[in-house]
Amino acid sequence: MQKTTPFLIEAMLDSPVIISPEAYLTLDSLLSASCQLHGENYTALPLARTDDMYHASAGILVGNPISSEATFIARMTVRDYSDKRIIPNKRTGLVVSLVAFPDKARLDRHQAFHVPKMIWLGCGDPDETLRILSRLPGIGKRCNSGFGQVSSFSVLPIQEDFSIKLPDSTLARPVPVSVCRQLKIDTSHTLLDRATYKPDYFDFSHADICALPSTRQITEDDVVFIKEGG
Amino acid sequence: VNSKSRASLALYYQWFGARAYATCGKSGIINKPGFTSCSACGGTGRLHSSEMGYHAFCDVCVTVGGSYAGIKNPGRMGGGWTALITPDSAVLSTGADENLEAFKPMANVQLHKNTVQKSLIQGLMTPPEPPFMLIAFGNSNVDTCKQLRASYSKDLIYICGARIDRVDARYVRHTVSAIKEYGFPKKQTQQAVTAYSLLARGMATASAIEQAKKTITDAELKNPGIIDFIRSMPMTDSTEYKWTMACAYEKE
Repeated sequence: MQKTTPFLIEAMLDSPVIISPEAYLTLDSLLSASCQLHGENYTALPLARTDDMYHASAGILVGNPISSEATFIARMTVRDYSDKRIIPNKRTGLVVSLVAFPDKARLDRHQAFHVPKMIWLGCGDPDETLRILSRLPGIGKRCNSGFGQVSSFSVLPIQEDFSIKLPDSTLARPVPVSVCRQLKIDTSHTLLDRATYKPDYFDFSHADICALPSTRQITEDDVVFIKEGG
Repeated sequence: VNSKSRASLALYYQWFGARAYATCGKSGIINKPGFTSCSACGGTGRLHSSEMGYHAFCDVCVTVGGSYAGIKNPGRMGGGWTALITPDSAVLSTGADENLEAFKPMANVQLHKNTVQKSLIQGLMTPPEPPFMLIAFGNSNVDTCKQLRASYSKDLIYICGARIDRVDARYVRHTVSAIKEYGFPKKQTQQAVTAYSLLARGMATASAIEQAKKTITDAELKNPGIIDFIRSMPMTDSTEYKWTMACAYEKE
């Protein structure tokens, strides 16, 4: 029988993490990514579920983050060499502009957050969750470029399951409206949007109208409060 | 183009895809030799290009990248154009009446002469029934295909197009009504919120913090109640702050 222990995961960060405003970096998305990287079954994660939604919170930044802009300029790829505009030694060749249509598409900007720690709340098998999570090369966007590097993950069983609703009654993750009704969650004060709520998060064909989480950061005192049992 | 943009693209295409281009302008030379993918989004399939054109565009990108007959230089929808699209209706706005004329043959498209700022403010303050899409075209609409976002609630509105602003519209409407109720002047609200944001972040020198505290105290003396009010205002670097100020102090 699958374990259903409420737990808190802490990640100590070595570098800023990139999270876009429309992404929530939920615990199940990280576990699913880790399983996919290692060619494992990612449809049965060691987490409790309500309907097809996992009991896994969004990533929460701990402390007061300093935000900065992380910019990238894409390099040329093989596809570009077949572009008629890039023909060396011809008068009409090499008409590449980085400020206008269409080459501006190569510029990529993200918002990076500098914080020492991130947490997730979950319910399921804490040890197995930690094992899968620890294999990730990093978290958030552009982790292959050095962002979102994690020095260590740790897990701590806690008293109550806050993976869907935080102690202040705000949502901890995107929850489909149908599940909100089932769990008797009041959505009158939450923002609604069409969002994905289960892996694969990038596949928008799974999207449904969800109540969105509003808490993206908390203080260290709040973390202690959760650890001590809410 | 990811699956999220694709859902919005369908809504866009319904009103401003190849149909708009064919109705208002030249249909373009289809599949001009030498072009295999859209110059804007890289998509393959049916491509439009003018005879002298250095670019070829797909059915969607052509509506912002291609030339319309009847629109003055640069001949395409760009900076100054906005669109509010729902499954049942479309509102297209720009500053010049003669440019709107080009879209007159399109049934069910309402044409309004309006500035970008005013169109977007109307969209935020009195949104239509969801789903809808609020688009502000830019001078360079290179990412249009990838940057379309439909809004599925009146409270969380995406302003998409040249860039994407994700706006908590309920929060904006709430703070705008509070500003209008108290009648705080724009300059003092700006100064007080900037000072409060600096204090809240705590990333400043001791002298800057002192200066910020003094600014807030002075503002309170001139406008009693402003301290309580600015605590509920969004931080200065947020999109909500930008749109709160735009909506609250909109020029008549």
